[in-house]
Amino acid sequence: MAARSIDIRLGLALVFLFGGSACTNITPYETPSEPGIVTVPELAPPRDASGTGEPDPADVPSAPPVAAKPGPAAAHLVQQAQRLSARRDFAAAAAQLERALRIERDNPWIYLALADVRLAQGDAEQAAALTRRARGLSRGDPEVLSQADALALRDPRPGGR
Amino acid sequence: MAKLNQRAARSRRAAGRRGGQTGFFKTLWRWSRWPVLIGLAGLAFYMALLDRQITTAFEGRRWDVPARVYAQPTELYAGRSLSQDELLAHLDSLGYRRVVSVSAAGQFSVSRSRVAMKTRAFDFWDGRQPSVRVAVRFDGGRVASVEAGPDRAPIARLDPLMMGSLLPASREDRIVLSPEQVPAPLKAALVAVEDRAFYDHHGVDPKAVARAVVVNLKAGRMRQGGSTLTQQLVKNYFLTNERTLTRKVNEALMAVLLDARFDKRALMTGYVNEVFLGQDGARAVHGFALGAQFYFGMPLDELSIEHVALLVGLIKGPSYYDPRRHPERSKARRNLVLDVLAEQAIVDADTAKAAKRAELGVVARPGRAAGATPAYMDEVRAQLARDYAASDLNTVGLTVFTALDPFVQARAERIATRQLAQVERDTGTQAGTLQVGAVISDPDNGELLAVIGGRHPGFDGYNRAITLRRSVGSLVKPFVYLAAIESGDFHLASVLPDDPIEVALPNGSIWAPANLSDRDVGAMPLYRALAESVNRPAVHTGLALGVDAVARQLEAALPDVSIPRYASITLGAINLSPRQVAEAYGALATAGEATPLRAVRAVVDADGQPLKRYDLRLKGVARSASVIQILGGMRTVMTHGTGRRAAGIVPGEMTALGKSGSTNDYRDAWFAGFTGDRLAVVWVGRDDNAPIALGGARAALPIWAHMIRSVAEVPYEMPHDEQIVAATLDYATGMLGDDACDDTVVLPLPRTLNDLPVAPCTAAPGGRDKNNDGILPWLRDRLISD
Repeated sequence: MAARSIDIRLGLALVFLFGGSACTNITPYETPSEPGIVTVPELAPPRDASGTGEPDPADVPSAPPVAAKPGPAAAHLVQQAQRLSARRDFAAAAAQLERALRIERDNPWIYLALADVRLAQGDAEQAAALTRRARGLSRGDPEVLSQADALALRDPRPGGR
Repeated sequence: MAKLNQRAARSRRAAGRRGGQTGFFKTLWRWSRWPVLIGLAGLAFYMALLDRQITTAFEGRRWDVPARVYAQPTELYAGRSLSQDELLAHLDSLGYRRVVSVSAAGQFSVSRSRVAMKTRAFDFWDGRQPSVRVAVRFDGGRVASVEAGPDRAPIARLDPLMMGSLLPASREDRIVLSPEQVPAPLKAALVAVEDRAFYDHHGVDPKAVARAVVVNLKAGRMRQGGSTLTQQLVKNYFLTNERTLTRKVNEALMAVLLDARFDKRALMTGYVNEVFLGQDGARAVHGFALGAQFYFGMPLDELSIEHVALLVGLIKGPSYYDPRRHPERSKARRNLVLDVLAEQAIVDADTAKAAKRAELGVVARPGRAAGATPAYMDEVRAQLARDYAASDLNTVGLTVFTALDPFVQARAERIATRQLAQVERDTGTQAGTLQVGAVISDPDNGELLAVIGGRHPGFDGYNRAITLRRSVGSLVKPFVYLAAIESGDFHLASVLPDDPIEVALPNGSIWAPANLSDRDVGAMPLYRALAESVNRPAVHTGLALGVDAVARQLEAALPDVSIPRYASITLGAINLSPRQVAEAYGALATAGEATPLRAVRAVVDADGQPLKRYDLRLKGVARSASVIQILGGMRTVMTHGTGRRAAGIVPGEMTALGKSGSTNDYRDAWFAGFTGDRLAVVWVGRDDNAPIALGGARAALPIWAHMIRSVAEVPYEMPHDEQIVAATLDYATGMLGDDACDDTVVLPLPRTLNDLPVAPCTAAPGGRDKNNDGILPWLRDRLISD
């Protein structure tokens, strides 16, 4: 059942993958909630030259968080994976997605696409782990998080995550 | 009447003579029939024996192919960090030839910042990749654009670099060709030079033998063999060089038998695959396909006629005509072969003339012999041994695709050797006494990119990255604290006691761990205990949790290791290899999704069918909210703790996280850590396990930092977790701080944590009261006692 609807779902994922907007490196963690308690908006790597770990105040984000969509090379492989999935050649599709992940290692969209393939193969455990990884790499992007939620809902295991 | 009598008498005499002859033969037969029959039966038996021997050898031999091991293929795509020079060097090592205009696979051309090439077709684990034209543009040290194939795909994959073979005990290496893969010019050249009557004779060539006898008699010594290709093939199978008549006769008999049993095509293919063409260290180079790789660095079907002539010329004496050691001799021999080819009209005179003027074209000897990276090959063997019998690996022609990154491996080797010597100089250690073991992996997918087995990376000996097991010391602390945070009773800013501690051991003795620096810091926040690697807080924490909880946390990240349940494991009294440490630290880098370390990506059988793929597998071993706090602590190691010295080597923008490890008596020095794309673990110590008087921060960190600087491209970015917020803390106390404090750190803490005290140094109202004497004991009661 999960396998049958894979093309549609991967297609859906691709809408997210390619219908994208500009990206930013900033992850908001929390806005200051209390005066005197300084809560910084990002835990991303310090971009300051000193490398001391203190974020530059100028980096405070003004745009909503967005995880980058795959670039042309990774997107090409994701499309190949989509074609392979349509032929139900899930092992080959996964191989192309792993290849895409070597090019864009921290792209949560590709992890979601791989989770989708694993779910189609009936490997709910891997799908759940890959989805968790996608969440970790999401930078809080609501689109990624809602896709991850949608994938988690399809976990067929009793009480699946 | 008399006449009649005379006639009768003559006839009687004649009859008597005839009767006498018959009698003689009868007698002879009577006396010799048994020896003759026995002799004939013996010969038949002997021939049958030889037949069986040679047939088995020939048929069996055709399948005896070692597994071929490849490095990871280079992917070309826009944005990749790769300079034009690096690509050209890589194409060179793959044996691609620079031409003005690209017309065939294995060629490339260069015009300013653009490289055009035609890739080679290659059977990858995910299917056959056809040969395509690729145009690559560069911008500085990066690829600016890629257009591959007719549909201008934005990505191209090159054929992978061959790393070596898993050789059988004979140490013979070869690439086996099927009959249709043997190029026609090669067959023609072999027949012209070695055995002109090959397609006509029945295994032996009496004319050639006669010719050889004449030549040898005239010369007064052995000058010409007169052996056919079939005889040479037989000789190769039984590898004896004795020049006795018996051997010659056996060889001839076997050649006749072989010729009777197999067609010329099979014999030619057997010869092309069998012939010995050179020695490469312990490895014997057999067959023309491997010979083409070994001498010219390219596939056999890409060789030009002068290359073919050189290889054919080598048969007579691979050592004597070795083109690397005796280029002049080799060239003269090659040109002689070209003359023969022209004489036999296999090439026209002009082609032969041009070919004779050409350079030898031999590539520099591969840096090292087969198994060019012996330390990495150890891990490949170990991973394969779990799924395959050794005999399959040596004989059935498997193709093994590994994750080895030749760029990373080469850089890591250079750094390990150079920096270890530098550490010896800087610390006044006697030169040459220290040893090193290191691995570099991809933290996201667990792929093993490089392995350093010792300070002489080309040496195939004790592997200090894979085989070595040494006490990991403080490398264990992130896991002790992870177990603590996972328990729910601790967080990254929890204040831990540093009181002296004594543990009664089962054997009745008392274990009283001390801090390495012997300084009494007093209670401190968890991240600081981690950053400065203070011992007693780790022991207190581990014992508060229970040793079992710590051991289980470690075992989750190291599924193949059984951790003893001793109190001393809280200080790393656990023997691990750098490879195992890399596997454990990988689980931290991915925020708790452990992935087994993999050297092999896939195995493909001799027909190109995938046998096994080693997929990316993740396994949750801790909640990401817990791991992210540990990651914050490991970042503090680099900014405030024992990893500080890396800052002078690793650029500030390349965020790295890590942890040092030293054992009590300074026998083992470790550093382990990662960026967004590379995880490195370095061990330094002595083979005899004597103390080196150096900790991880002094002996292992400089090597680690130089490796990271050289191979890492992506800074570490903290993973996202809804339950985690970032807070600015006063470094020394772990209380909430702000700009008014001298030294602050930004650290991930649980969102639910709402009772952290405000540091006295802050500008906030609660912080103005500098009377802070009571704060630490209060915190300790609050956070440690439950």
